[in-house]
Amino acid sequence: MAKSNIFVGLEIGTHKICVVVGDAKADGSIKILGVGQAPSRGVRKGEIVDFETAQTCLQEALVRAEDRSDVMVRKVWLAITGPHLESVNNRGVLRIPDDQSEITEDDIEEVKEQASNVAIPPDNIFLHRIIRHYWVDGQEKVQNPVGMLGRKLEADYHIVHGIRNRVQNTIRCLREFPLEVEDVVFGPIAAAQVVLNREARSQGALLMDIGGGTTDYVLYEDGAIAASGSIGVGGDHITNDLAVVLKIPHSRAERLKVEHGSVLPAAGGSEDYIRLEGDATFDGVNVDREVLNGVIAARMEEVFNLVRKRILASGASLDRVAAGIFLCGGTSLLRGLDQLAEEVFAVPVRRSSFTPMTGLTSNFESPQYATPIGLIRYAQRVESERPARTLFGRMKAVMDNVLSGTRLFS
Amino acid sequence: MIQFNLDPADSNAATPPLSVSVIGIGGSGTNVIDKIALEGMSGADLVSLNCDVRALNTSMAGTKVQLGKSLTQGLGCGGDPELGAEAAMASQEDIRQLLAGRSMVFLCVGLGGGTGSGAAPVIARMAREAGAFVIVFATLPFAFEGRRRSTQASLALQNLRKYANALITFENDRMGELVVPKKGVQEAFELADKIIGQSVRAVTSLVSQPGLIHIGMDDLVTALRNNDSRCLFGYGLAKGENRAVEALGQALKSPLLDRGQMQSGARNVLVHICGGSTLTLFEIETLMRELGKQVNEDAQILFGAAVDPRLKESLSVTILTSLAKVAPVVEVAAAPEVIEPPVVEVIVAVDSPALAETPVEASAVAGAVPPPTEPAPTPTAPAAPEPQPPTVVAPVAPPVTKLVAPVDALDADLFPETVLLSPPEPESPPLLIDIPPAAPVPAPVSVSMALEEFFEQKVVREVPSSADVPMSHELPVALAEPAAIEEEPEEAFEESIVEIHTEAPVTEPIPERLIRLERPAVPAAVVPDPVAPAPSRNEMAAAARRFVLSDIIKREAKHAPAPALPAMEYEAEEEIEMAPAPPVRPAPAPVSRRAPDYDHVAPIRPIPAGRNTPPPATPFTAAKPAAAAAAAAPAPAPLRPVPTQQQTFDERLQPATNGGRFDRVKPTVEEGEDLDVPTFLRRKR
Repeated sequence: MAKSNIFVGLEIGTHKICVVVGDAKADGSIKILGVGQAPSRGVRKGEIVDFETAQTCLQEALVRAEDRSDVMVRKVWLAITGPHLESVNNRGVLRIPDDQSEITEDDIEEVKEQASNVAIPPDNIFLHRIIRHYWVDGQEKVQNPVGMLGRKLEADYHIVHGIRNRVQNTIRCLREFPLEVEDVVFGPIAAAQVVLNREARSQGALLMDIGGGTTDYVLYEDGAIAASGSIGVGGDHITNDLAVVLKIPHSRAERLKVEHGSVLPAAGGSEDYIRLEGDATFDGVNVDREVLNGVIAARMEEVFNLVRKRILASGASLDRVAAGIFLCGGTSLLRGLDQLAEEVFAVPVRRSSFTPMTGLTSNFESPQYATPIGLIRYAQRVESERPARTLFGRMKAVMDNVLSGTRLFS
Repeated sequence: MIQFNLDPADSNAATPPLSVSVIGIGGSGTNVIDKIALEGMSGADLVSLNCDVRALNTSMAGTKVQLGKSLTQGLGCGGDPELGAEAAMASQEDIRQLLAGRSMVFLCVGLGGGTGSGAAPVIARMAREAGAFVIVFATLPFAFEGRRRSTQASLALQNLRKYANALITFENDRMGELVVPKKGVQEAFELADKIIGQSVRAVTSLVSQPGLIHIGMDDLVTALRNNDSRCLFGYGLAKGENRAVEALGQALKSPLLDRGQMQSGARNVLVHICGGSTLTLFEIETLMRELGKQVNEDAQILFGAAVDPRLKESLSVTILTSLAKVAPVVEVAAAPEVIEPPVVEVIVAVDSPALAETPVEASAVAGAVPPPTEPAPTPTAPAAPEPQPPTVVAPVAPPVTKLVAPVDALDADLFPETVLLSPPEPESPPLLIDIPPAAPVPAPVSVSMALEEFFEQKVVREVPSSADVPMSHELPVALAEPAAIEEEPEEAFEESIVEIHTEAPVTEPIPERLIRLERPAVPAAVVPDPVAPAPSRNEMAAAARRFVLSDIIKREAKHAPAPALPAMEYEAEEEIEMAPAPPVRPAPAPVSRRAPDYDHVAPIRPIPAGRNTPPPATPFTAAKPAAAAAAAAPAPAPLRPVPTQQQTFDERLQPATNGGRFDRVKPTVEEGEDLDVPTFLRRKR
């Protein structure tokens, strides 16, 4: 039997809270044991604003996930997002001391520290410091410099940082369950783990996770992250736009968006008007499909342009996105969105499809689940990269496993 | 709060002009000078010294001196350092003339060859004798140049060490690190020269520039103090968003600064941050925090910051430090054996009968007489035509030097400011000894003998190098000359003090008194002495300690009323300034401690050194008002009115309002547009 590791990925989205319990096999495949999902309240633009309501929803999702997977969830990998998250690329440079010729692990740590010397606002914390490339004596793109001989070690890092309090608030919210947070991961980076395969990453790809409250993106160039970020505009905005422009309630607007919404004027049905039936507090209204699609298209086009501008502003270029743009997240299901994206970015666009998975896959191939499932892959990668633990550490890990991640039955 | 003037133009007017010479010796030195000249250097004389006429002719230096005209007939030294030294000696009159009155001299020299290796130590010595602060940038030869040259280089380096206040070396072998190996050799050499040029410029502006937190000559001396004068230097200049860290990175990468060594060995690290008007406190903080990680935990960080509008968007970082190799504890233990510093030695020789026989008596006298210092209250200082005052000044050193590290004797003498860190001996009675006039008046012969003896001792004992031996015979003659010229800078300094004091509306006589108080002994003692060699010697001693003498006197004065603890030095000093004047004026003019005032050396501030200590907070208080004013500026009006409380009834039935869905989060604003408003509507407008 392949060594198995059960991880739990949790995403608290603006629209839904999703808990995925997955078994990450050593061969890289993920078996999904169970998914718990609940509509989310008290979350705005990816951030929790009403803790009690959000906790109730989370409780629901957790219970469902535990039920279906027969796993008691103790530790989770948490995906977060929010417009406060920012990213920057920085290069650390280290001159190897004279009395030492070989590059050691310590040097790697040191150069990482050097690269982290970015002037971030004082109340921000680092979320990720992801290595992009090492350079030894100016030699390009070394994968692993440890053990190499060199005088100068440089390292390009992609750094994601965000406001400390907002990140910690979410963690605190989970602690009350109690749930232990293993690590906090920036949403699109997690999603990229499953949406983008190795080839796409090395060819260059842009992943856009268009969720309920935010649009997150991550750009890969040469197999490494070149840019990432989050814009506080998502499906919620479309709903709100419709509600405001068409003067209809939010709930109706949401349904209208899902059932009839499209970004392509001509892509709708044959009739020109959509009849919204009235009820006790709302007089029925006829919605002009052109207006409906126009409102959505204007919004999405703006979002894509914003992403494009941000990417260009960060110094990366879209010319090297050879594998194309991958859309995921609930809003990416909007009709015609891929065509709109293709117009804006002039790069082939596809809705995400997943890398090999077993288990209850068929239900969860939807791009909505890219982030929580990606968390499991991310967890698996991080765990496998962790240095070998001491005997005591291993025993502790086993005990932890027994207590948290193991199946209760079967 | 002390008000101080931030306008650099104004404060420049009050500072004494720092006379700086940058001297390139030999072929390599001349190249460096050329590079500096090309990049422009204001406020410093650029001088080229070389034996080789042809090389000299192509030099772009403002002043050129051919060494050993008759000796080499306009040719080079052919790699013979002895010839180089002789050539320098032959042209010493020209050189001394150049050096006279300089407060700071940079020597750029490539070691290993003839002119550089031979002449540099000689010239360094002359510069030191002329009273200048000498900083040597020495380039060491490539390894492939052979053993002979590297031996010559290291020999010259040893000699330079004795005379230079600071010695910064650059190994040519490390030139490869500067550029990509494929790049042209010319670029590599140019970069090496450029680095040295940058260093010269950085150090000059460091000391001459008025700063928010000023770095003075005293800080420089502290940072560079060690027993072999070898220093590490780093300089970085960067622009843009992340400029603080980039500049620091550059500085740390500098080939003149071996980071690994700095981490382990440095005890005093001088950091100077200079930026345009956009320099932020946050940048300084980030930078200092980063630097804190790079240095030893118990290293003292001497921190300076300045705003120079000329830098505009850039930020520069200068790091200067030295490698301390001797643990201080050991030094104290070994201290009693210290050889007495040469200058003191000479003076002791002068009045040895008195001093040797009356130590006990002296302490008795000291016990009887209250300890106030001689200068201010009594007329002794003005009425000091007899040579007592020099003895009064000089013996201060012996008790003190005993506390000091057993460094090379010459260094120990030239760095008496080490004292600052060690409390002075409570019984410094030699100050008060009323030495019978018979004792100190020496026969001129004995003085010159003593001198001769001293130099012979010094030279023979410590400078076995053949290069220096001829000097010992010429010295007495040579010394007399700078003595006369020396007078000028002293007065210039005094005047500058007057200017600084009169910043506040004060009547004229008071500053006069202040000056008397601050530096009474030197002029009084030196000027009236008729004996030729003696004053020159005293003058030499005075000049050598130009930057610290006032400090010593001040310290004495300070400890007279109440022996203050080192930590209290600040307040104590303040008291002294006002002490003599109260009847005349109520309060002393608050002299800005940050104005660059080379004579008025403030005690070195004990900065808590260490990895996690934040940079001192106090220096920034002065900058606060501006920040507060900025903060007080009306805050931008909120982008939209805060939505009123949500209605309690079912949300689904609630009328849709503009932005109602996003009522509890920050509005998403991009490029001035509120994205929470439907794009559709915004476009329509």
